[in-house]
Amino acid sequence: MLRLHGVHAYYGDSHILQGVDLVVGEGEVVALLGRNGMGKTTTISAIVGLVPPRRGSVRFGSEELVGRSPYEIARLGIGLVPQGRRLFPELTVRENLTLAMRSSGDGDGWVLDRIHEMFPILEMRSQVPAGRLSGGEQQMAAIARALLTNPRLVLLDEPSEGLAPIIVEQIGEIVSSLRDRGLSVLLVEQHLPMALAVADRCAIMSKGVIVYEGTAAELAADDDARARHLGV
Amino acid sequence: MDQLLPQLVNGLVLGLLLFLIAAGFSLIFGLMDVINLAHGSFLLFGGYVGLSVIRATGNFWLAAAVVPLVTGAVGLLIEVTVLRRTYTRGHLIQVLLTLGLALIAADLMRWNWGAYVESVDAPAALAGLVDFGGVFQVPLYRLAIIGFGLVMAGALWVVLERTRLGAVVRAGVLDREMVAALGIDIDKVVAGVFALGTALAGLSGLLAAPVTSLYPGLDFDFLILALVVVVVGGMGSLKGAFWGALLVGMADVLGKAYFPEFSLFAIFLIMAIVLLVRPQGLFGTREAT
Repeated sequence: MLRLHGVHAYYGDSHILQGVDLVVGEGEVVALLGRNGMGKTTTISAIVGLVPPRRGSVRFGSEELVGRSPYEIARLGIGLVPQGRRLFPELTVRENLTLAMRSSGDGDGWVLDRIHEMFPILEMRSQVPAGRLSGGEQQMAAIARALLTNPRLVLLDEPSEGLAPIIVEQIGEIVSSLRDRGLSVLLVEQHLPMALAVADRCAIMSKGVIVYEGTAAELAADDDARARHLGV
Repeated sequence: MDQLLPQLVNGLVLGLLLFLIAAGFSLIFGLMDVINLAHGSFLLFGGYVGLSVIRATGNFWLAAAVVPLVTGAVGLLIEVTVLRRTYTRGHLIQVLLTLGLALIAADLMRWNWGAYVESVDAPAALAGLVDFGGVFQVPLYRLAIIGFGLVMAGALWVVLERTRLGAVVRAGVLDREMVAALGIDIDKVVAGVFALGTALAGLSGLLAAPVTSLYPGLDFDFLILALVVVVVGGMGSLKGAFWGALLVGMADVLGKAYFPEFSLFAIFLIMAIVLLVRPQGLFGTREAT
């Protein structure tokens, strides 16, 4: 479904991604792990075109994404839940959710009612400015906002960041439920237990390249790899 | 007293004209981070185009329909061909570009319409004075400007606050990149807002003409007032443009009436106080950079 091959990307003169190869299969949850500053978020930005790769290829289904603008990439069916949520704080929760809403082709996609069923709190807060939500609620709103564009692939960038353990568990359940509905997910995460609980496969990044790939069970059993690449 | 009331009405008239100019100016700044120093040129250009239409046809209303179409189209053309290339290149190049455009436009307009003060008559239907209980009289045309300005403010508010397109524009002011990442062609929205802003500026040039007349320099006079309005009201905020415009309009008119030797001083005093107390402007959300 998503296939990165030899992706190089820069921030200014800094060579951040140095040949990333990564695959997310249909209906698969892949966790992208690694210490801070290793290029995980840049990988996400490179996929959605916010940091256009200078070399390499990003294929989504049969489409090449490199060279396309962010809005075209999103319209191909990629939903972004960015680091720090990036809700529009002064807009109401409802406006945040419906702003970019797109119906799915088959008429069986995400609509506002279904989102409200899944996240009742967002219905209760629909007229509140998104900036006044709690961290957990903001994370749910950011996920809901992406789902309402009816993507086939969801990119989640550190959804557990800054959240209480009980909320992190909830977010993990949400990610699992997305997989159950047939969505593909690329999950960037610092919170290893959560990542291991929800992911099918794990990839670890270090200094702009993928240095480890395996199933979640393999990584959970591989003390050496965890110690070497993640320091845990 | 008999002096103050008419001055207050004049302050409202100038304030609402300023609102029509500053609304576009402020949204353009908020959305694109571009200080469009050519915004006043669109105003004067609109006034002159209106003058030509009125001279050719004698019809003010036809001019009022043609002017926003012409200035909006020119604005769209400039956004798509030139301005769009500068969004990622920082303020300096944008300021140089739009200032250059403003200077070129000023010369072209002087060349085509001359350097004399051109007066424009209010339409016949709005000629005459309205008497307020024998206390003072106000030209009907000025009251019409007040009414139109309030209607436009209401219409803009509804579109911006109550429609999905309006939500996209407000979201774009906050985080344009994120809007694009959600699958919205924000470039088109930006171009549309620029066209709308320049159309409004042109129309307000025509509406102002019977009050201020048209002359070389009117473009920069209004540009400076619009800048002050946006600084006072807050960048990218419609509410800020509205209250900022009324405040600046009032201050300018009252300052000129009562302290003519300090007329500009009144405006800049307000601006200085706002900048000291609330650097982001009365209704702004972020500080000027």
